[in-house]
Amino acid sequence: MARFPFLEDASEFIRGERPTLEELLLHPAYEEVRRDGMSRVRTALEEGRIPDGETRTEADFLRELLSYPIARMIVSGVGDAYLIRRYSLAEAEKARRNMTSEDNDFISHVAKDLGMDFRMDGLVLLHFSDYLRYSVQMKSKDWKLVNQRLADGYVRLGRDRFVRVLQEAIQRRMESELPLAVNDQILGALEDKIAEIDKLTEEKKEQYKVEDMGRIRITRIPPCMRDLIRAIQLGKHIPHTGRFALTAFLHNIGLSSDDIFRLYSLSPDFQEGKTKYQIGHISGEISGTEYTPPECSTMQSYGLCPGPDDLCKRIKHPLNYYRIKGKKRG
Amino acid sequence: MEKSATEDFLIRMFREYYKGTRLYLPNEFTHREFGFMFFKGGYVQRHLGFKTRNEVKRFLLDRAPSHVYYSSAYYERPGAGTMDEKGWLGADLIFDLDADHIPRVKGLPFERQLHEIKLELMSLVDDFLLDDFGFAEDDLLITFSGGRGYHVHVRSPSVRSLTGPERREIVDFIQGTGLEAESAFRKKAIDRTHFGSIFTLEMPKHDDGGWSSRVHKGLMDFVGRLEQMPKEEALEKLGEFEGIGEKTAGEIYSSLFEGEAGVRGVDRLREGRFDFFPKDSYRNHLVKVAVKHTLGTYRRQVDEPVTADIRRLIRLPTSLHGKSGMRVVILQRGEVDDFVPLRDAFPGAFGSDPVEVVLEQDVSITLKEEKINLHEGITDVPEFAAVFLMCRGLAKLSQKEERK
Ligand code: SF4
Repeated sequence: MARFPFLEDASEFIRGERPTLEELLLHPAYEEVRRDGMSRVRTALEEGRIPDGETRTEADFLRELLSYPIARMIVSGVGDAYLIRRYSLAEAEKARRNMTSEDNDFISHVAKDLGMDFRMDGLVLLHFSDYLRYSVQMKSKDWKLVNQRLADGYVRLGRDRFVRVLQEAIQRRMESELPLAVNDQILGALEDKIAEIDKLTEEKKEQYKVEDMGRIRITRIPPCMRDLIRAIQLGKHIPHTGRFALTAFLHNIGLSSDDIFRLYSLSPDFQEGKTKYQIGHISGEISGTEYTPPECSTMQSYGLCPGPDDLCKRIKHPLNYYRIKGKKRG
Repeated sequence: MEKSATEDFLIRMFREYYKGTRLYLPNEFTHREFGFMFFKGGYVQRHLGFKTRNEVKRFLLDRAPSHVYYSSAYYERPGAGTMDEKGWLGADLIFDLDADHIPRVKGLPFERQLHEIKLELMSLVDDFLLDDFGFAEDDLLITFSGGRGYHVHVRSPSVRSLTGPERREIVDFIQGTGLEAESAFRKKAIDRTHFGSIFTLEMPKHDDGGWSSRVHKGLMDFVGRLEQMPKEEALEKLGEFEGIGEKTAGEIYSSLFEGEAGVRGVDRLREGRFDFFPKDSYRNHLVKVAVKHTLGTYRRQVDEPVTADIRRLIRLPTSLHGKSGMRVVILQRGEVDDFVPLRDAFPGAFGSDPVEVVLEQDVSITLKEEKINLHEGITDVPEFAAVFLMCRGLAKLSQKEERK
C-alpha cells in the first residue's frame, strides 16, 4: 500500500490512525518524512522519475506512505501547472513500475479504485470508453482502437497494456486533484521547501523558454499556433494532431529543428529520442518528405482552431496568415 | 414576387404540419441548444434554449422554420451566446450517413442512393454499434434525415463525456482507418535461439472480435472465391493487387490449391494453419491481400466531422426537412428494412388535392409509389408532391394558385 499512496484505502489509513496534520508538519519525529516528501518532488522535477523508498520495516513503510501527502502539499504550495503535470507524471510512472510486480487481484483493486469498467481473468476486458479515455494520446498505431480486439463493447488487453492504461488514469486523477487547498499552517511549515521548489520550477521552465524563437515574430503566428505554443509553455498536454500541426508549421516558417526541439523539451511528458525523431520525420530529415500543416478546415475539425480572428476569415491555411502578416509589415 | 409566393405557400404548409404534430423532444431538452433556418433569410439562428414543450411549439407555429436543429451536446446554459458561457456537460454520439460521403453511391439516381445508404446504415448498426461497441438497441435513436441519409444518435451514458479525438477513434474504427495487418495476424515466437526469436504469424480467428474477426472472414471469403474461379482468372485477380507479379501470383496459387484435396494449402488454412507457404514473402502478400479485401468489403463510411464534433447541431426528429418537405422519421431497428423514404416520409398533413405549379424542367420520380412523369411548364400535382418539388427548387407556385 505504501507504494500506491493515491488509493482510497491508503488515505483512509492515514486519516484513521496516524499523525495529525500538525504533527506531520511540525513534529521533529516526522522530519525525515518531510525530507522524503521534498525529494519526491525534486527528483520528479529534475529527473522525471521518483525512486522507490524502503518499505521493509514498519517505520520505512510509514515514511514512504506519509511522504506522499507532504509532496502534494509542496506541489500545491507552488501551484504551478507545469510542476503539477511533471510531478503527476512521475508519480504515475512509479505506480506503474510497482504494479508490474503485483498480482491480478491487486491490479483489479487499483482499477476499481480508479472507476474502470472492466473484467479480469487472465486477459483483461476493458470497456471501450475507458480504453479511449486513457489511450487516445498514445501515439503508436498499435494503440489505435481499430487495431484492438473489440467485442460487445469491451477491448481485450494483455496485463502490461492494462497497467499502462492505469498509469494514465492515475496521472489524470492526480492532476485533477492538484493543487489542493493549502492553509497558512501548511504554507508556513513548508515555506522553505515550497520556495526552493518554486525556484527550481522557474529555472526549469526558463531553461527551455522560447522567448523570441530566433527570427520568428510571435505576432505573425496565427491564433491556433499561438495557443499550441502557449499550451506547451504552460506544461499542458497537447494531442498528437496538435504536435504535428505545430511542428510542420514551425518548420515551414523556417524554424530550425533545434529550436523546435527546445520548445518541446518544456513539455511534461517530453521524451528526447521520440521528439527528435518526430521532428526529423516531419521536417523531412528522416522521411525525405516535408510536411505542411493542415488547412484551417482540418484544424477546425481537429478542434485546434480557437476561433478565427479578422485575418483568419480571409484565409484558408495557417501558413497564409504568417505570410500576409509578414507582407503588411513591408 | 413569384418566388416569395412559393415561400409563403411552403410556410403555410409547414405551419399546418406543426399544428397537427406531436413533436418529438430529445431527453433533457432544456439543456439542449436549438437552431433554425427559415424560408426567408438564409442565416441559421442558433443559441436558443427552451424551457417548456409549449415554448418550442409556439416558436414553430410562429416562425414555421424550414429546418429545425438541436444540439447533440448538453449545456448548463444552452441559450448563452458563446460556447464558453454555455458550459458543456457532455454530448450524444452522432453518426451521419449521407449520400455525399459514400463514394460508391455518388451519381446513382435518388431512389437507388437512398436504398444503398439504408444498407450502409443497417451494417453500421448491426455489425458495429450493436456487435462491436455493444450498445443496446435502446441506446440508439435511428432517424431518416428527411434528405438523403440517416442519422444515429447514441445516448448511452458511457459515451457522453467522450472528447473529439476519442470520437474520432470510433470513426477510424468504423472506417477501418489505420488498420494494421499485424493486429489481425499476430506475431508468435516459435523458437528462441541465441540470435533472437523465430516468428510465425498466427491466423486471425472468427471469434477474435473487432477487425480481427473481419479479416478472418475476409481471407476465407477471398480464398473461397479464388477456389471457385478457373485458374487463369484467379491468377489475374491476384495480379490486381499491388506488388504481386505473375510469378508471385502463380506461387501463391499453387501453395493454396495444388496437391490432393484435404491436404492442400487452402485446407490447412481452413484449419487455422498458416505454415504451408514455401516462402514467407508469399504468405505476407496474401496477408496484405486479405486486409485489403476485408477493408473493401466491411468498412463503413460515416461523416467524420459530424461524429467528432461535440457541439454539433443535428436535425430534430419529427421536424420537416426544408429541402424536401419530408419528415425526419424515427425508426426502430426492425422498421428500417422495409422503410422507403419516398413512400413513407411524407407527412399526412400534406394531402393529395391538386396544386398548380410551374416546373422548371422535366421531372420523373416515384413518390408514394406513384410514378410521376411531368413536363416542363404548368401542371397539376398532388399537394405533397408540390411541396416536395418546391422544396427541392424544381417547381414554383403558379400564378393562378397565388391568387387563391
Ligand atoms: S482560422 Fe486557420 S489560421 Fe486562423 S486560427 Fe483557425 S486554423 Fe488557425
